Amino acid sequence: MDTFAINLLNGLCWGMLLFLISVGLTTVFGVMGVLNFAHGSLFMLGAYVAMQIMEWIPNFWIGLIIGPVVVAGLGIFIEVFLLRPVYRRDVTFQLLLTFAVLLVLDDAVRLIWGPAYHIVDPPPLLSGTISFFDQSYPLYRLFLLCFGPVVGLSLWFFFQKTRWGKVIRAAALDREMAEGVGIQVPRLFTLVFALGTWLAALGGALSAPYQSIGPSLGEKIIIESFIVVVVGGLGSFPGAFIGAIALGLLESFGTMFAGRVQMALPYLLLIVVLLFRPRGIFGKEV
Amino acid sequence: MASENILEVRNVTHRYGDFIALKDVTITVPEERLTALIGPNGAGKTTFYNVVSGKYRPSRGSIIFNGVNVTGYSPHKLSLMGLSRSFQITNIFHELTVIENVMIPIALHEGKGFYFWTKYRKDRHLFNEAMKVLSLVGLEDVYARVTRELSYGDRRLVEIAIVLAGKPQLVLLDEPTAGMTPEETEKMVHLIKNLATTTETTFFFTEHDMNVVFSVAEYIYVLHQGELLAQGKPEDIRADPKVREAYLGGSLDT
Amino acid sequence: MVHQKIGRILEYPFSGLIVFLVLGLFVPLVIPTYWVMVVTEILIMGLFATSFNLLFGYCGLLSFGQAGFFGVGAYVTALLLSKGVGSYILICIASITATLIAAYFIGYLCVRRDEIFFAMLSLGFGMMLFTIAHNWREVTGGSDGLPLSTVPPVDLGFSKISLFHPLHGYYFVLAFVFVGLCILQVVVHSHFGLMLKASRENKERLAFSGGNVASVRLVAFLMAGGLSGLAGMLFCIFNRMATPDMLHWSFSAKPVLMTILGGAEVFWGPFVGAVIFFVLEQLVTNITENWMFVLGLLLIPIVLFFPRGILGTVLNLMKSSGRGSHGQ
Repeated sequence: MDTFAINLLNGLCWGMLLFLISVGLTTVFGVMGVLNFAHGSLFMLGAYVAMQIMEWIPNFWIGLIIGPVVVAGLGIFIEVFLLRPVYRRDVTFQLLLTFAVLLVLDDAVRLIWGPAYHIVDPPPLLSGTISFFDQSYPLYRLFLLCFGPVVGLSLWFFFQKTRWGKVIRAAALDREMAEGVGIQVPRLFTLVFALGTWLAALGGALSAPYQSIGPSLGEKIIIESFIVVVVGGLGSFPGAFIGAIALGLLESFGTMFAGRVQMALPYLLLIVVLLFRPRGIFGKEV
Repeated sequence: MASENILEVRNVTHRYGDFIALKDVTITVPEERLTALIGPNGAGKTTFYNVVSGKYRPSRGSIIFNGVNVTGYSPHKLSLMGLSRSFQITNIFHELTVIENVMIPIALHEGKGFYFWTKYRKDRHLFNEAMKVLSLVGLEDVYARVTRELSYGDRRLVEIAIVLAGKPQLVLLDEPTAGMTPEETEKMVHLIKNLATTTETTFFFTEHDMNVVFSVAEYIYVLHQGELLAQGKPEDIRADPKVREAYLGGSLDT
Repeated sequence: MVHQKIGRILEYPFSGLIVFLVLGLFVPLVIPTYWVMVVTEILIMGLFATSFNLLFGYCGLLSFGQAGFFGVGAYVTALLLSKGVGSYILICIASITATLIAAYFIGYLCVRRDEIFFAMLSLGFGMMLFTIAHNWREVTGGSDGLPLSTVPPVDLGFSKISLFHPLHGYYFVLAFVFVGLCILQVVVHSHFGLMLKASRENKERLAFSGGNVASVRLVAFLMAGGLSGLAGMLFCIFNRMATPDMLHWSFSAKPVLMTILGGAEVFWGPFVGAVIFFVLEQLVTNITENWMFVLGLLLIPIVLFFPRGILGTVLNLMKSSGRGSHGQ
């Protein structure tokens, strides 16, 4: 029972991080129609930049706040100079362009911070463990567990209740109509991409004390977040949440029950969902 | 009894979710006739064609083609059986040459789709057959051009050529003159009339231009809000008050 | 007159094969041994990329799991060689057959999807194969892979040729790659090749013209898979081992990158892309370790400004300048 609870917490915790990354990926796809291959690299960059800032100013929270904003700035650059020219092209070309960005970012990280792994300590407030069920559990992970839903709910509130959120959703549904009523779609796209990048980088910064940071982090995370958004339904907000939690739990319980097959489980999930619900769980069927 | 009707659509109903696009429609198309299907926008004409040509499986009812029940058959199977169609929005291979556009259906109908070791450009027979079809629609001079470079009217003709290429028994034309200039329309009307008399193909077409319908069709079906409203010879349809009603105040004579 | 002219132009693609063979036969005689090894790898990856492009360039299907089939070919080769099988014909048949079986099942499920969904599904299946290679330690040797303890000589009847000599290995690879490229070249110009282009251009129109889109794509998937398996077999013999990273999605990205570099719209694009890829890699890694950084920086302007790739752009320029002078 105890290991069950621990696995459940671990799964949910990893699911929350996956959710933060995937929700940015799925929002960018839903609004702009671009599947961003470099999203995982932006996640990794978020972790590195936050780490760097914490080295300069030894305060976790400052790194957590400033790091993602810096990366979001890079996101604006990518959107304006690289993505804008390819919106009208085939989806495949957008995928390839962002893949090239991935190559550059991944190697840039290796160039700046070296190939070694780094460890970031959680802030003093959240270091240490808490015990229950006769087990001790890291406090920082519980923090992540609470933080994920907070971000999720505020995003939901933003998209459903605020004017800006509604404008973005309108533009996602019908670009021409949005332009017709005077919405500046290009600026909106830049904003949405910046938001997506910020979310990825926030996920990265938050994950820094959770796992060690290395230059292959982005490569691993992008495939997992692809699985999350495709399983949940590309462009779907609740889909990203359900998909992320499902994948998180699958991975933590997989190690317990499936042993060696565990590594294959996420791909199995992807394949099964795509075969039976080609547009994902929350995707609109055509 | 071998059916004299090449197409019999029996009690077909088609739904999209809660919306009923076609309601209990029964239509028969006799062989070697020019039959038209008309109706105001949203009457369900294109849905009807999509159901008949195998793009959608009807929610209820059956489709008999040449005496065979083909309900739920896939488009490629129907095409090989001799049922061919055009689309309202030009649906051709834009980046290929004109002759390649026509070679594709011919090769498929000759069973050459999976010939791996023969060069299609060296296939004299295929080339000649394709040129024959192109000369039917008057495109033989531009056969080597990339289709994208042609005028709109000519691209519509390429689609007609593709549709005819497999020597179909029945051709469904979905708004063949949509978006055409008056001259292009006239050319198209002349062509359809001509093809109907010179080939053994049966034509069944939808059209928004009533002048075209009444000058070409020998028999007309009227669809309104997914239901069959009337059927008959052009003069009967022209006089039918229900049809006039459906088209809002008798704009049929325009 | 016009026909003759067109006919002559249409003969042109096969002159590509002749140029390839002439260069392939003589270039290794005049370059240093180290470069012979590099060119051997170019041949193998060039075949891999060209077979990938049968799906991407000709059918419009972006496969991100092509390395899975490459890996199946490599592992079957490693297993058979470690079991003492000495006949390369047998190994070749076995590798391709195994790859075709895998490609049939995966292809059957993939070809009904388009664009992103095809890419993601093929990526998922490729990674499934990767996890099998990585985790089924008893058979595949796990993350260490399967090293070849020996590479048997090629028995030509009159003499036995050792593959340990770089030049011998090179010509061995060249023979297989040439056959593979010939098959692809013939196929893309065949009636079936026309159906492939039709399925890329407009699959709905193809279906309504009497073509079974799923079957056309599946056959292309099998061909691309089988020839990727052949490339994997050669890679295994060349590297003396099969490793799981040959099946990883980042390996699947290599043919994609080469094809973008060279150009997806022309037959020789992926191969020229492979040449550029490896030559650049050699030059860049002399200066810096961050080869991927340079590659990414090179790819961005290519995707943005030269979507036809390097060879595609060059051929296009030649064609339009040729047309210009004739037009006077």
